[in-house]
Amino acid sequence: MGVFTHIWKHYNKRMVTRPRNYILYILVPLTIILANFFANIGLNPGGDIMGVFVPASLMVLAFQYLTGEILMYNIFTSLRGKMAERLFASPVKRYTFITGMTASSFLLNLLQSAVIMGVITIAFGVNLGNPAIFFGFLLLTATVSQLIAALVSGITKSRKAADGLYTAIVLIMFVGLEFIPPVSAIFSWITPLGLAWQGIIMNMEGQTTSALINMALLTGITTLVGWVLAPTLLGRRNQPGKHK
Amino acid sequence: MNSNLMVNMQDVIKRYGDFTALDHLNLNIVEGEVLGLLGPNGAGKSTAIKTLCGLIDANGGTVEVFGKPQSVTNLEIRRHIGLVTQEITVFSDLSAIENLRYFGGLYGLKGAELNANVAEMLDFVGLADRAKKRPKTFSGGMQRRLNIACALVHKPKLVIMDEPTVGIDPQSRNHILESTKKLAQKGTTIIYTSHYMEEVQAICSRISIMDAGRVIADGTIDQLMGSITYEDRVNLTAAHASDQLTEELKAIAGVKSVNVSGNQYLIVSGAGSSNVNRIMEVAHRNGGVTSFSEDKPNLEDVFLTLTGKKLRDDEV
Repeated sequence: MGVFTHIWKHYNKRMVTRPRNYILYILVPLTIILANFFANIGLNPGGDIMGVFVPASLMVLAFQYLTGEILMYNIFTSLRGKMAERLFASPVKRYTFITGMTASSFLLNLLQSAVIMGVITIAFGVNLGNPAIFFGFLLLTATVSQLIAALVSGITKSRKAADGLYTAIVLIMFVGLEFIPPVSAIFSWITPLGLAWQGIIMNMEGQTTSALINMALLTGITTLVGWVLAPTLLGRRNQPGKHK
Repeated sequence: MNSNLMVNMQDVIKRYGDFTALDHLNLNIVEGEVLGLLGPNGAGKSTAIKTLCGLIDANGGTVEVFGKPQSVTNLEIRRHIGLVTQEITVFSDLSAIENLRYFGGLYGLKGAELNANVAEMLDFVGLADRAKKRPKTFSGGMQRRLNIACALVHKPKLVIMDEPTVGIDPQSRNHILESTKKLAQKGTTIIYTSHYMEEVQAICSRISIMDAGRVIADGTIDQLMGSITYEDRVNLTAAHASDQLTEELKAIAGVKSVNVSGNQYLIVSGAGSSNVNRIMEVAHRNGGVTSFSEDKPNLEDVFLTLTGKKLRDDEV
C-alpha cells in the first residue's frame, strides 16, 4: 500500500505542477456547461429546468472522458521505452505503477464531475433522482473512460496515435447521441456514454429499474474492458525487452 | 562457489525470435569489483544488463545475483541494484529533489532516511545548489549526474552504469568518473559499460569483452594486453639522419623493419623485443635524437584484435 500511495502521490504532484490540467479539465467544462445553462434559460424563461439539464448532463459525461488523456500522457511518459526500464528495475510490480497512475487521473475525473454537478445542482435546484444511482453512473463513467484510455495506450505505438484514436472513440459516441437521428443511432445508445446518459435521465424521471438495467450493462462493458482487454494489452506493449 | 560472488551468470541464453542475444554467456563478479563490460554494438551488453536487473528472463542457464536466482518476479533482489540507464530517465517536470524523493520512495525509503540519502546524493553529484530546479533547465552533464544520483539514492550494493558519460562536457565527465571512483572505494560493486577506453582503463579493476552474446576475453588490463600479439613501434627524430644510422638500427636484435622519412624513423620490432634502450644507444652514437616516442598497445588494440571492430562507430 505504501508504494502504491507513493506512486499515486507522484502522479498527483505532476498534475499539480500543471495548473493547465485544472483549467482544461474542470474550469473549462464548468464554464461551458454553465454558459450553456444560462443561455438556454435566457432563451426559454420560466421553462422546465430539466429540459436544460438533460443536454448538460451529456456534456458532463463527455468531459469525463477527456481526463483519459491524462492517463495516456502518464503511460506514454512513464511506461514506455527507457523510463519503463528504469522504473521496472525498481522493486515495484508493474501492476502497482499502472494502478497508481490510473488512480490519480481517475480521482481528477471524479472531482471534475462532482464539482460540475454540485455547482449545477446547488445553483439551479435540479432533482437528480436517486443520488446513489446518479453517483454510480459518474463512477462507472470515470472507470470506463480510464480503462478505454489504458486500452488505447496498449494498442497504439505513439502518444499521437493514442490521442487520435481515443478522441475518435469519444467523438463517435458523443456525435451519435447528440446529432444523428435516434432511429439511426441505436449503436450510440449502447456505448458506455449512451448507457450512462440514458441511465441518468431515467433516474431523474423516476424509472429506477430501467436505470439499474443500464447500470448493469455499463458495468458489464466496464468489466469487459477492464479485466479482459486493458491489462493484457498494456502488459504486452509495456515490456522493456520490446523497446531496444 | 565463491561466497563473495555478487553476480553469477552461467551458460545464459536469451533469444528474441530467431536472434540469439546471449549465447551461453558466462560472467562472474566478485564483491567490491569494478567490472568494465565492453563490446561492439549488438554484442549483448544491454540484454545481459536487463537480465541481471530482472527486466527480462533468460531462456536458459543460471542467473544469480547476491546468491539468489534472478527473474522478472524477484523484487527483493532489485532493492539492492542501482541501474544508471544510458538515456536520461528522470522526470523533466519535477525538480531534482522531487525526482530523488520519488526514486528513493520506490525502494521503500521514507522519512529521515529518505531525506538524509537525498541530501547526500545531491552533494555527491554536485547538485545541492540546484536541488529545487527542474532538470529541463540543466545542462546535459547535470542531467546525467541527476540520473546517477537517482540510481544511487537507495544505496545499492550493485550498481550497473550503462554508458553514463555519453554526450557530455569534459567537466561533468570528470565529475562522474571521480564519483564512480569514490563509490568503488566505498566497496560498491560496479558494472561499467562504456565506449571510452580511457574511462574503463581509469576505473575498472577487471574487464570483460563481449561479442556475439558471449564473453570472448576477461581479465585485468595487463592480462588482456598480454593475450594479444603485437609489434613494438618506436618513433624517433634523429638530429642527423644517415644511412649508417639506418643500417645500425636494422642490425639490432628483434628489429623487423626501419622506415625513414627525412629525419623521422619508424622502427618496428617483434612483440616483447625489449630493445628500446639499444635503439636509443645507437641513435645517440649517430648524432643524437630530438624527439622520441614509443607506441604501446592499448585496450583499443586488444578490443580491435579480439572483435575485429572499433568500439566507437565514429572511429571506423
